[in-house]
Amino acid sequence: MPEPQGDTPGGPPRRGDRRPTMTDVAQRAGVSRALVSLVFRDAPGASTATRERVFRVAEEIGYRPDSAARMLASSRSKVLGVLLTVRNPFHADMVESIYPVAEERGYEILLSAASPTRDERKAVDALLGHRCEGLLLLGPTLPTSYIAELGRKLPVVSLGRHFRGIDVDSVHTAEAKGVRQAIAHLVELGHRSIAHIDGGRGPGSAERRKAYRAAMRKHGLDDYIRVLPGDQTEESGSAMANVLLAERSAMPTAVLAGNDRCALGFLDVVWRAGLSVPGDLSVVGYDDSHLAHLSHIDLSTVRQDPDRHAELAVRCVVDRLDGTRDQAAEFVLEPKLVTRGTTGPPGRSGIMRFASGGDGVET
Amino acid sequence: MTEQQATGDGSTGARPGRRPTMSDVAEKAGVSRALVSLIFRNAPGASDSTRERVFQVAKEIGYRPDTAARTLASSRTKTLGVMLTIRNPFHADLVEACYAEADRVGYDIVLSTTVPTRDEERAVDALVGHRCEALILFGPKTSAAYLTQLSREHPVVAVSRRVPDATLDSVHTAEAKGVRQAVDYLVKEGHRDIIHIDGGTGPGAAERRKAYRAAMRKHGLAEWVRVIPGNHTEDSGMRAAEVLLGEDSLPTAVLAANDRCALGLLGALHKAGVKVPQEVSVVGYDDSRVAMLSHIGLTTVHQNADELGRLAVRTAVERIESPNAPARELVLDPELRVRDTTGPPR
Repeated sequence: MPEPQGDTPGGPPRRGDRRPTMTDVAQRAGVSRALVSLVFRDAPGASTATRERVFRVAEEIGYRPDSAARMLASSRSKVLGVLLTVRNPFHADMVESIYPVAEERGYEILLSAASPTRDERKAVDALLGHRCEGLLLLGPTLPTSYIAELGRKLPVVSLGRHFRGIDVDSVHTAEAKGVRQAIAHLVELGHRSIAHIDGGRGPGSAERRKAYRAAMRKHGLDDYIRVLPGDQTEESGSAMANVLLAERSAMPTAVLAGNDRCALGFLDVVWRAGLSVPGDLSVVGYDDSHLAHLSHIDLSTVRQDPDRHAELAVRCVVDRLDGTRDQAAEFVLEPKLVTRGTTGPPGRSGIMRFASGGDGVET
Repeated sequence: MTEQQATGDGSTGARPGRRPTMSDVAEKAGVSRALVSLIFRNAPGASDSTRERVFQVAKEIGYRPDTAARTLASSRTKTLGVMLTIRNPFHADLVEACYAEADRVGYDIVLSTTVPTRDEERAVDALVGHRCEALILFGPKTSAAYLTQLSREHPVVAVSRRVPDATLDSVHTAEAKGVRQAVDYLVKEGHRDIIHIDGGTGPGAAERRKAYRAAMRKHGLAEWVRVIPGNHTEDSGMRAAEVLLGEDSLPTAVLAANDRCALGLLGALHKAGVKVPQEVSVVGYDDSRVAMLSHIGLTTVHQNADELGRLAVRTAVERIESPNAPARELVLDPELRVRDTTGPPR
């Protein structure tokens, strides 16, 4: 399905009466195209005589940069668009990694964020409107059909989510492996009642949910399988913490959150309720965003490597632009569990009993 | 929340620093504005010598149609460019507010972030290259001279940064007032040994530092004044904690440069087994959503991100529509939010 990238994106094939281009001016004036461009941008670097000659030739052959957009559109923009969620710290990490890699390959980056008043389609439209040559989508939640359509227009790479069966590149972590590592770690510490707050329709969520169930079964913990609905935000972590706190008697001893944001929201509520972590409850995140490292959070989490994501994603798009590859590529990165301060052996009773109020339980 | 509006000192209409216009070129070159326009569009109809003269004059007075895009863009892009620091959670709050307002007024927004490998000027260049009609800069740290120059070439709104002499529009919080509220509150709780980790050259840092000193003096606590140099990152809070933990005794209260700094400080204190607020009270600045979520429940000076973002977009659009209006400074009142990291001294 890969569509060849034409020289004149969006434009009809050139006719015999094609408009004179900057190259024509350059040829006729006996200077480089770059110099012509420079002269028309009124940038310094051309002598007055050259400037004069270029303008004269342009006039002679009827070259008119009638609108900036048109003039610039005739050349490659060398801009890659990045779709992100501005509140996601892991996205911030990836953006920081994307810039240097893109610059090294000679591309500028343009960011467009999804926010409560601006959905992902709108954010993508903005990138397309700014002549991006390729798109890097960070954890898109857009439907497959839309992504496929987008992939027909320009090179697209999805980070953190793989789209099966369409011609779009992806870079993501081996979700199942990360989840297996987390469950194995918790089981080794002695946990059995391990709940999972899932990420809803968020990127990687389905895989993590499935891997959680499989890992629990593998450890003979089928009876303890419990998936709480979430959506990869702090709010969903907080909400599920409140659900668990209201139950009291059936608290799990460990929780695998859908991602770090969810884990942070969850921790916020259980800490406020006076529970000690990991004394009363162990918590594992997913992402290892820069917030997870903060020592008072000190979150045990599954590390995804933002540098590697960035490097491969930029390469995907640039390879496509260079025409060196026209088959969809999928890069799967190895996750790595990072154990920090939010995981430990379960409390002695196994099942939580605690007084309401701020004192909490000493273990 | 009161909104004050201060106009810059050059409110007589002709800003001393206003950017040269095409009319200025026309006047000085002794030709019509239409002819100047024509020349810059490279349309036929002007003699070579006129062309030359116009370019010469333009250069002399610093008229710069900096990119072809801009010169030729009589067409409107209806795009605002926002420069931010992607790691700053307060900036995330501001971006969301800007998007919402831009949507209301029919503009789109593109973002350009500073990252360790990419400084503010490069982030700004990218926005200019994308033909943004106005630039909104979150907490720019770059020099006032650069900002002034930039504002001659493009509509610019600085958020959370006051630029002296008001040659460009700015929207920020009354920093001194927020700091005064924090110090007043701590003093009322009984604190005297209140130190400040400053924000270095960060936006608002100088004002906060000065206000801290003034507030301490006002309470007769001049001899307790102590400023530990820092910046607006978690790291600076951690480093300050190391300094403090290495001394004989801890202060009873710390006013951090911002929330990120406070979070770093809290983390390090927590790790060292220091109880907050029993042993040390900590106050942040910003009230970013992440700080609110933190299990610590940070006491902090609330800046109204929604309103700052809204006004930034409004101001940018007004500047696009009235390029020669006097520069404006919009100042919002901050408000101390007392949560769990402050209490009476030990």
